[in-house]
Amino acid sequence: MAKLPKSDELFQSIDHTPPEKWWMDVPVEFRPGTYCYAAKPQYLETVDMPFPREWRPTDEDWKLPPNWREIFLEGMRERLERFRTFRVFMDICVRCGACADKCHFFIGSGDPKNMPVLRAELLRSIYRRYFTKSGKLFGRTGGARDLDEETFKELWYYFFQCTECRRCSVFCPYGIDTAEITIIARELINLLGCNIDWIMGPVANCYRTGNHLGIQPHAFRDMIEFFCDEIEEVTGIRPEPTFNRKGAEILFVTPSGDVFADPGTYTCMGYLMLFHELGLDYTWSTYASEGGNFGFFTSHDMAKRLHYKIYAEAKRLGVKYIIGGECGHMWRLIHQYLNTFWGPPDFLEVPVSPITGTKFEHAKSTKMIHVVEFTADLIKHGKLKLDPSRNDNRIVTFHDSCNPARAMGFFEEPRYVLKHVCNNFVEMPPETTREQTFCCGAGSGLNTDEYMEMRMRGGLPRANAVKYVHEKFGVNTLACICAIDRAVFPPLMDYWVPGVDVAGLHELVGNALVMKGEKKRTTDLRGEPLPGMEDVEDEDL
Amino acid sequence: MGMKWEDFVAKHKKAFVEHWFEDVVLTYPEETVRFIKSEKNPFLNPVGAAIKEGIEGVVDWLVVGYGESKEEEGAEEEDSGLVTFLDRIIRVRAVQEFKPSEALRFIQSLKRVFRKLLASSDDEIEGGELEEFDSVVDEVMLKALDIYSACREQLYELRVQEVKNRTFRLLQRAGLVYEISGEEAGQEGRE
Repeated sequence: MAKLPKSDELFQSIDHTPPEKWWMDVPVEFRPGTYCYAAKPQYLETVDMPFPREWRPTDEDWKLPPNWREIFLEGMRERLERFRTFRVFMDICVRCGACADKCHFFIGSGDPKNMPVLRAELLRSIYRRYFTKSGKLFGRTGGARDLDEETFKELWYYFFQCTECRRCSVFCPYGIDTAEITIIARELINLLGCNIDWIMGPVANCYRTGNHLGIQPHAFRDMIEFFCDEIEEVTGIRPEPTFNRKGAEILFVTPSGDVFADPGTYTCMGYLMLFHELGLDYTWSTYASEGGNFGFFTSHDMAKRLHYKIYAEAKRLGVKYIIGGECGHMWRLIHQYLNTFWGPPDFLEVPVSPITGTKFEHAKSTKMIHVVEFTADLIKHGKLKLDPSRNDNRIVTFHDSCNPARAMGFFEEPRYVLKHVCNNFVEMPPETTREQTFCCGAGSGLNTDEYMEMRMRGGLPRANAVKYVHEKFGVNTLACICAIDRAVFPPLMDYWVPGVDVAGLHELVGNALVMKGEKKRTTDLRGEPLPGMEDVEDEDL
Repeated sequence: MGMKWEDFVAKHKKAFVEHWFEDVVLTYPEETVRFIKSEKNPFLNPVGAAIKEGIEGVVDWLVVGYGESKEEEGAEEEDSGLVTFLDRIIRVRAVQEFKPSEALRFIQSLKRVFRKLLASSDDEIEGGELEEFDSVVDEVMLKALDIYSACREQLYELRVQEVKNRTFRLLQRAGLVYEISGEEAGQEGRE
């Protein structure tokens, strides 16, 4: 019989260190929960994108076209010429590592390929191999590598593990914007028909019907009317919104998530109540029924195609300007892409608040303002009667959504509104807010259910900061101004910080807003008793 | 004269925590290890913070909590913080790139750390104490398995919940689902 090792010897010999391999030699493994499903072919067909087919990321054969390498490299060459940023970003990184530990996916997963520098290196290595002399000469030793199917799968895997949140770019001394590298990488991936279902579904639906879920006009209207029923139940007042009304002063556009998914629906009720109370001359559109633009997570061209719908509708209806709801990436597109895509719209006017007379000069070019700045301006001018004590059951903290924060510098307005509609507001640690805010972990079209495990990794840094204020100050509400946040935070909180609710800012505005002629309110917009009204039955009133 | 295992752990607590932390951290790739060890701000390094807090808590439990749970009847369920601190670490590892066995192997490291410290120390423990310690670690491992499974189950539960939430309002408005109100159910009950 062979001599068995003693338990002591066995324990001494256990090695916990993962095998050390160079990053080029660590293959990608597709485990459920860490990748998104492939796009259905009909979605690609709807918007004329190439190579629609049935395939799965776990398949050995992705059914790439025979000349896929040429298509990819030609696409890369075109983009290197077209986008100066892309070429510069491919060339100038000195691997200083300032970005390395700034990505929420790296912090949460511990996977080194989620360091922004290494994620970009996945593409840079291809760039060196095919577009630089040193790469052609020195190959692997020069940090270059061949483009083969395994490499392509790796690119696919990791560029759908970047939410384009741009936190890393805040810290890059050269100003490299990793989000733009991801955007180009996804464009190249799209040339081979390999987008994910959760992005392409909304893109196709938005193109065909006007919003991500493919909700048709009658259902959209029906849903808003349903909110009016609920508002009437809570306040005794029924808003009378209009739809597709020509000649209205303002067009209001919000992400469709606010119309169809809790807790965004309560935010939507907040908008309806506010606009009704002001007697605002505004209209909803059942065609431009989406503030979001998942085309942005597909390609510049697709973003451009989908983006203009809002402005085309504004032109058709003859409104003066547009107010946009609580959305994230919509604002990056408005502020940083609209004028490059289409030029400033010349058929609209510079937004002026009909209530306060404030001229929103900063929106001179886009003719579109954020509902939160509109509301902040109303409060500043004392135009709203607010009872913040109605939110006294909530101890609120505020999550700066990546796009309004980093693409607009939108820090003070939401806080100003929050402080006027609730009495208990607590900030999270400063290294996790404002321009340094941590992503929800599922932006840029990654908020799909099959991706839950990866979302929990990516959302950990944000959740960890919420956990701190939850334990230290009893925070029970996470307020935000982005529809993707409102969709992905509830499960993220359930997993990491149970006991924290998620609310849009205008839900809290709706609760606090004292409306003319309203009945005595006993519940908030969710039908939960207001503070101090826990024992009051309707019959008592 | 040999000591009890609890006393040995208590005496070498600092080294125990350090060695165990090292073992857990070394389950990550090299570049990540550097980051987890060096970044001291818990808000910028939540994984490192969770591991550290969890490990300190579990070692405290070994030193104090375990004894208390033995003395008090029915206190095992309360476990004097063991579950809370194990949860801090396992909740993180349950959603990272680990197989279940890899995610929980760090519990077994306790045995290795104990032996390593024992070998390098002049202190001795009583006969049978090593076996006693091993069996406590086995119990901790079983508790860890419960927590790991609960985390994974919760992930799938959250996924189901999300799918339901996404479509419920629409089905409701389309008249495809009919919700029985509490009132209605009460009336039916009375009839």
